[in-house]
Amino acid sequence: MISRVGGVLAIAALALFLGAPALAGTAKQVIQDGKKFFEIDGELFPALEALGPPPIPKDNPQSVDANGWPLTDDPKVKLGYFLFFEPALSGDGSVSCQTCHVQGAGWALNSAISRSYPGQSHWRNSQSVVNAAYMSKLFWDGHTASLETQAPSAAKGLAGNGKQDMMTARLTVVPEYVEMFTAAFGSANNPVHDAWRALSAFERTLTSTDSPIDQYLRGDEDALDEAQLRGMDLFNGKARCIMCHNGKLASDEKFYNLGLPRQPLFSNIAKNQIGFRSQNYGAGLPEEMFRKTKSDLGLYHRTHNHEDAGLFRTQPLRFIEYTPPYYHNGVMDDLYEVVEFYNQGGGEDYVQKDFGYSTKTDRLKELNLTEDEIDDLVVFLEGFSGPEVLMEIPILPKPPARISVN
Amino acid sequence: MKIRSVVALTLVTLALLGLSSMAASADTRPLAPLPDAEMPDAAKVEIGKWMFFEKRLSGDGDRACADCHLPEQGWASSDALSIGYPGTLHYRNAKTVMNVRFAKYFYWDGRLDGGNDLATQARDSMTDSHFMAADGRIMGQRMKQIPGYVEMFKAAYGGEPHFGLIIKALGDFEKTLVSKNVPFDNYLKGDTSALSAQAKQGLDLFQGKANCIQCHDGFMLSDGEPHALGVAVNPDIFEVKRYTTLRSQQMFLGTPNYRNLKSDPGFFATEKNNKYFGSFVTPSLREVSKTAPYMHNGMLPTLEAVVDFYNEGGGQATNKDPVIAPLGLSAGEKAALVAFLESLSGDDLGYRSADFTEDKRPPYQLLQWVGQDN
Ligand code: HEC
Ligand code: HEC
Ligand code: HEC
Ligand code: HEC
Repeated sequence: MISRVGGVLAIAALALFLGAPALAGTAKQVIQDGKKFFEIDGELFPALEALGPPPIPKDNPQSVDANGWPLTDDPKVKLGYFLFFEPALSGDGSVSCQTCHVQGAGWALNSAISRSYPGQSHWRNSQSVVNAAYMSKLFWDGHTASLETQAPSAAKGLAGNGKQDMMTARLTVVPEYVEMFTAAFGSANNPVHDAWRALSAFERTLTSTDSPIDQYLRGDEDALDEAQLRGMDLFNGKARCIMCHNGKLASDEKFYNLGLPRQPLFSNIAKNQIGFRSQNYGAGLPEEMFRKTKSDLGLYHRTHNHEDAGLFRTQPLRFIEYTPPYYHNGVMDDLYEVVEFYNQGGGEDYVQKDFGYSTKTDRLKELNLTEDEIDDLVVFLEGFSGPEVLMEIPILPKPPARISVN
Repeated sequence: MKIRSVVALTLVTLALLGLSSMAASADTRPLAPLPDAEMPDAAKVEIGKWMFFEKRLSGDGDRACADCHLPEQGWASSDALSIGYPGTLHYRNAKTVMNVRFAKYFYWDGRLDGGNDLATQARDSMTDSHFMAADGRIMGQRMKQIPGYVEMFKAAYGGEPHFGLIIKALGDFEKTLVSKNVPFDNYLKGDTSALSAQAKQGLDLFQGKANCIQCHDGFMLSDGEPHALGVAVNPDIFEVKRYTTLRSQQMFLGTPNYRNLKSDPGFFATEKNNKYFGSFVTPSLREVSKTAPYMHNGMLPTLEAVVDFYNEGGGQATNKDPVIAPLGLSAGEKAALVAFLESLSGDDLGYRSADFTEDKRPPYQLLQWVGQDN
């Protein structure tokens, strides 16, 4: 930290001495149709923008304030809040969404590879649910398009192992839930289907839109310090981040192979291998591929196109301060490692190693960032995170010990 | 329906000659010894045995078939109502898997065809949310990471384990769970000393005055048909974890009004006709002395209690089977009937849960990848 401040002062002093405008910026900005872009390698990329309220789908409406921000006293949201913490939505009644999306860990999990239900292990890093409401492609490989369709795969599959009928029964024996479902949806006849909708409505209130970068982009020039502004300039230019982390979401929601290092857990721990291999098996990998695959094939799982092997969705960058470790396989522990990685032009393509052809993006190049520049970029990235999103843990309604029917 | 004192004496001959029933009603089949049945390949049975005791075949890795079908408890459980998958409890008594290869239908409510298709039944047990909640694809991968098992699968099936083979192996193991050296069968085969005089008297009553043969006929001592006896509701089914299983399963089966059931609908869930509400498929009586407590909900703790129940004409039910009526048995007759029921159990097959504890089961191990070094 101290050395970083030193660097900042030195550069500021130098800039002053040279009489150059400190914030001139080297990134190539282009205005087209009133919109701001940055140009890299002759291509235009939309500038970062402040984040507004999340989109709300027509088929799962919820109440919003005058500016379109979801209200937390909507009965659906309230129900979703309880359900997010509710372990009844899992196979053995021990796992809730909060188990892997821990509010104290940025609504993600501070573990390279996520846990699964007891007895099993997952194979990917747990993503934050903060700002998931903005994404049109959810999960690391973008395999679902809405929160409403994402939630069931979270509760039922490798995460929670919940079964529809048992979860239905568990919800309907709790009188408070029957009331809450009735208040939110008019009845408790279809509680599991409606649970996904309530969870989604709740997740639309889990937003982080007040980061220093958002404030800056809304016009508060003091929100970022000089080092961060230099970092932003690098982000938009020399460091090439804007090529993928762009627009409102700081993500183009497209898929790339960056050449990330392998996750050694899949070679070192039998239980992790089981999680990994069962996903590959479930995705129907051809025998030959199944045997050779030592790293996650990402988008390939969804499309079965060879050119999609090893591609993952560009992560949005808001809130990242709270969500290490990073990337789909959690191989990096902090933002310095991340930036060093990009500085080297990414890594060696494991698709190439396993299968003899490369899918690595050609957007990553050696950046030749100086140590000071790396510092600047890191402090800029830290500017993507506003205050933590914290709330009281709900006291969950419990079923009676015995059911009485009449 | 008169008592026939000659029955016991002539039964042996008649059974051997395959003559038609001498029982009370024309459409009952004679009691008979278990038929000889072909045993599956020993290597497959060996795998199935390990699979039967393997907890890692359940979602949480914490339930094996043998946790609910205990070899020490007649391959059933001494709990009135069964445990369930972790986080759940069951609302029925665990049935024995002894002789199940001969069952006409599986489960108390007969919702699955028997007919020797034990692999399909094992698939049910493994995947149902209240039994083992397993994902078949994951189970295949788990077994593949246990080299001790992989070797066995390769030797028996020429390939690595996968879900399809796991359930087949389970079925093959169950096919070997057949009663051995049963006094009653020995008696039927000509060893008149195999039954005590009291048991012989019980056999007479079974086929005569007590009229059990009406439903408990043939070599399985079961007609494989549903009947309502009016067994009292077990109040423990209203414990929340049992009731959620009841509700969940009845929802799955499409039972009308599944949210407000006050008792186990039984065969009604299979055949949605009111006359079947609360009826259950007649269980086999083989090995019955080892599988207390009794009935679909374990409400009757002993065979004596079962005989008392029948002697009093069963319980309360509007659709009670008309055959069930007070029997007027004396204390001696009741004891004789129990003695007969006890003659239906064979030798202990010698399996012990203690031989399959975690330290005895082969562990998960790392697999080498193709191209391990790159
Ligand atoms: C056992 C751990 C676990 C549990 C329980 C769990 N999740 Fe997740 N969640 C993950 C992991 C791991 C990922 C990334 C998975 C992937 O990409 O394949 C994820 C991804 C997500 C995403 C996608 C975020 C994005 O940026 O695309 C959302 C939304 C989400 N989970 C919501 C939920 C909800 C709602 C629940 C409860 C119903 C839940 N999760 C339960 C581990 C879990
Ligand atoms: C070619 C497109 C591309 C470029 C250029 C790019 N990224 Fe990324 N970024 C991605 C993708 C794709 C992921 C997710 C990859 C994965 O997990 O496999 C990602 C992930 C990240 C993450 C991890 C976030 C998390 O939640 O785990 C950070 C931080 C990040 N990028 C920062 C940067 C920075 C800083 C730059 C510029 C130096 C940059 N990225 C350049 C595509 C890109
Ligand atoms: C958590 C307890 C539990 C586990 C684990 C379990 N069972 Fe069962 N099993 C039961 C109960 C309870 C019944 C009776 C259910 C009913 O009738 O609805 C039953 C019924 C059966 C039946 C039907 C018997 C008949 O005569 O109709 C068979 C066969 C069977 N189980 C085999 C298995 C096998 C094989 C496994 C392992 C793959 C297994 N079970 C695992 C509790 C369990
Ligand atoms: C009308 C048909 C019928 C007649 C007659 C009948 N049973 Fe049953 N028996 C059944 C059915 C059906 C069940 C299961 C009922 C339930 O679980 O609710 C059963 C259960 C039993 C059981 C419990 C088995 C177990 O594994 O829990 C025993 C023991 C038994 N009967 C013995 C007898 C005897 C002894 C008689 C004669 C006194 C007799 N039964 C007469 C149909 C009959």
